[in-house]
This record gives sequence, C-alpha cells and structure tokens, in this order.
Amino acid sequence: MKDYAGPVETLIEELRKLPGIGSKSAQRLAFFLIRTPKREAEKLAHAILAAKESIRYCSVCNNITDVDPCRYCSDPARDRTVLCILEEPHNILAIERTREYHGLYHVLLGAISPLQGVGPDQLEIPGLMKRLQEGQVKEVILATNPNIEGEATALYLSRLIKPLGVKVTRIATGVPVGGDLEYADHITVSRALEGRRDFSG
Amino acid sequence: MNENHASTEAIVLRSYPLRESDLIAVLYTRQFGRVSGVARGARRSKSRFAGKLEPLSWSEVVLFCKRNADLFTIDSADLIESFAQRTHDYRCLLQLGLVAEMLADTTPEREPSDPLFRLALLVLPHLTQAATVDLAQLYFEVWYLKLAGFYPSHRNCSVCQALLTADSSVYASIGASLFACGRCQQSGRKVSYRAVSLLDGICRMRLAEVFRLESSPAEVAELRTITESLLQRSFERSFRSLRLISEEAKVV
Ligand SMILES: [Zn+2]
Ligand SMILES: [Zn+2]
Repeated sequence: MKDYAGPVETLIEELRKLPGIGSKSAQRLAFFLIRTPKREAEKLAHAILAAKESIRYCSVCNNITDVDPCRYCSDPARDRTVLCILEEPHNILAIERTREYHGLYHVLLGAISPLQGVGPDQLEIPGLMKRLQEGQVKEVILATNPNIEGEATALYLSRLIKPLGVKVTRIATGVPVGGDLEYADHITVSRALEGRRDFSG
Repeated sequence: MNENHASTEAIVLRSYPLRESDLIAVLYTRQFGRVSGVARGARRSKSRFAGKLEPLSWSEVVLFCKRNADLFTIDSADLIESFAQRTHDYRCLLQLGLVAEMLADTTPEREPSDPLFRLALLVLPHLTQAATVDLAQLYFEVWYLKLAGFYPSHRNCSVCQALLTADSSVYASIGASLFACGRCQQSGRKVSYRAVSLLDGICRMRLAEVFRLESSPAEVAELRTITESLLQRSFERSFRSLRLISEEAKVV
C-alpha cells in the first residue's frame, strides 16, 4: 500500500537516490517542491538538464567541464611540468583552494580497491601514461586519498611511472592542523614523521 | 561495563559511508565473530575514529547492541595496528585485501571463532612484507580451509588412496585429496613432491617454523593455485581480489 499519490511517491523515490538523502529528507524535499511555484520547479528541472547536457569530462585530464579542454588544461599560465593525480574531479577544488599549486591535473575517476575488486584497468590510467610519454611532465604528485584504496592506487602508479624517469612524490599525511599529538594514534604519528620536511625559522 | 556494552578486539574488513558523516564498518571480532557496526560522525576530519576504522586495521573496539538490532553501534575504537599502512608494496596490499574479503564474505555473521581470529592476526603482519607474503598467504589459505572443514588430505592419491612418496609423480586433483598419483592420472598440472612436503609442514608446524623450511616461490605459487581453486569451489564464490592478484602476476 502506498502512502502518497503516485507522482509524489515517484518524486520521493527519485530524491532518495541522491547522496546523503534518507527517506525522511526525501519526503521533506518532495513536499517543499510541491509547495513551490511551478516556475521555480521548472527552473530547477532545467538547471539539472542543462548541466547534464553541457557538462562532460575533459578529454585531457577528466575534470568535469563545460568546455573541452577544461580551463586548467587550456590555461597558458599553468606549469606544464607538474601533474597532480587525483581520484575524483571534485578533489581539484581542494587543491585549488590552497592557491599553492599551479601545475596541471589528471583525474583517475576512481581508485584501485582490492576489497571491491576495482582494478587498475577500470581507471583512467592509459590517458595518464600517454600524457607522461609526451615528455613535458617532470614531476607527478600522487594526491590520492590517504586510505587503503588511495594508497594502493599510489603504489601501483609509482611503480608504473618511475621507469619513465619522472619524479614521483606523494602528498604527506599525518597530524591534522588543530590536532594534538597526544591524541593521535601511533600510525598517524609515524606517517607524519615519514613525511617531515626541512624547516627553518 | 554495562551488560549491553562489550569491549573486544576487531579486524576491520570493510568500511563504507552512511549518511552525511557516519561510517558502517564490517568487523571480524574476537568475541562476536563477524559483525557490522555504525560509527557516528566517523567521517568528520576531527572524529575520534579518524583512521581507526580503515580496512585492515586491528583495533580494540567498544560495541553496543540494542536488543534485536541488526547493527552494532561502535562507541569507540583504539588502534592497535594498521596492516595496510605498514606496507609500501602494491602486491602486499592485494594479499591483505584477499584476507579481508575471505573473512567478510565467507564467515557466518555473529559466530565467533577464536582459532580463526588468531590465525588472521598471526598471518597479517607477514602479509605486509614482500619476502614473506606468499608463504604466509598459503599458510592462511590451508588453515582457513581446515578450520572451515573443507581441507581434504594431501598425503594420499585422490583416486586409489595410495600414499604419495618422493618417487611418485604427483598431479593436482581435488577430491578426497588435493593430489592424484601418476598411475591414476597422467595429465593436468604436475606438482613436485617437495610441494607436497611443504603442505605437510604447514599442517604440522607453526608459521615461524614453516618460514625456515626450504621452499621455492614456484612451489608456493603452485600450491596456492590449488588451495585457491579449492577455496572458491568450497565457498561457491569467486574472490574479486584473486582477479586483481592474477592480473598483477602477469605484469611482474
Ligand atoms: Zn582538463
Ligand atoms: Zn592413485
């Protein structure tokens, strides 16, 4: 037995598919949308469709973009000798927010997961290798996530890239800013020690 | 400690996001066997769980279970060791993944087995080292089959039951035994008698002693092909990590 009229039920079902939305939130959103003026609802529907139609993956770096190549790949001011490797397009923002990085990106669109059977063949690695073989890139920064999938991916890639004579670096992980050494576990502290750098005041 | 709360050692097998900031972790615990638990807020960057519920970590956890609830609540976790963080070898990570997959997908829920928990903890540290990973994994597979009641004999011929000796030719043939003698079978994968003796050692000795036995990487690989096909046959499933491991073997 259904609780609501068919179209409402369908709307709730569709909203429930969004990340972070459970049944309760889906109901709340559905009733909000039903109450909003038709014009507003149309604007939302159009925005979703327009995004779907004009957005694609950059043919060079796999970033999400409305122009191909994306704005990073086509920006003449970016340093073409450094390539930062990321798992997902939204990770680019995290690096850009630092304003410290001026090189290019390559998005793998996933990570190797021994636990879920996701192998290297399911990632955007061939395009990466092609870019590296062109010879312009001198350093690759492996910025995959510091978890088992990201680590497996970084280990796999470093073995693949090193024979090309390209410098391979991995982002440091360790004690978070605002964290306290006393409360960090020994694995985190040992990682932080491994990733230590020269320091002068 | 109140009666609904329990502190137990756990090996984290898998974890995946739930809602905005929570995490579901599948654990193999000493006290309860395989269970799933929710860790509230575990995905916030300053969470007290940070990094402690990553797959292949060994933690002391405090679990709470409401009557008749499917999921435990993970109240706290104290990291003892993170096996995945210990290695810088891609192949080792894949082998660690196989152990997690086997425990996650073939152990019954909420059925504790202290021998199995101890076996996993015994083997995991050796899976982080390239030098010991293959033999340790073979040891794990043999004992995993034994504990689950799926390990046949390896000393006799599957067909005629004759005792295999150093003079017999030996072929892989999974049945009442893992092998058949040269009189009963003339084709298929030939196995060296030394490999048969290595299995003998694995079944009789402690892991530290097995490491001291003479064995070649080829023998270990030979035997793992057999134990892994027996594992997949016994549990009626194929292991995803094995596909990654065999692809990796082709690359190296
Ligand atoms: Zn691009
Ligand atoms: Zn025989």
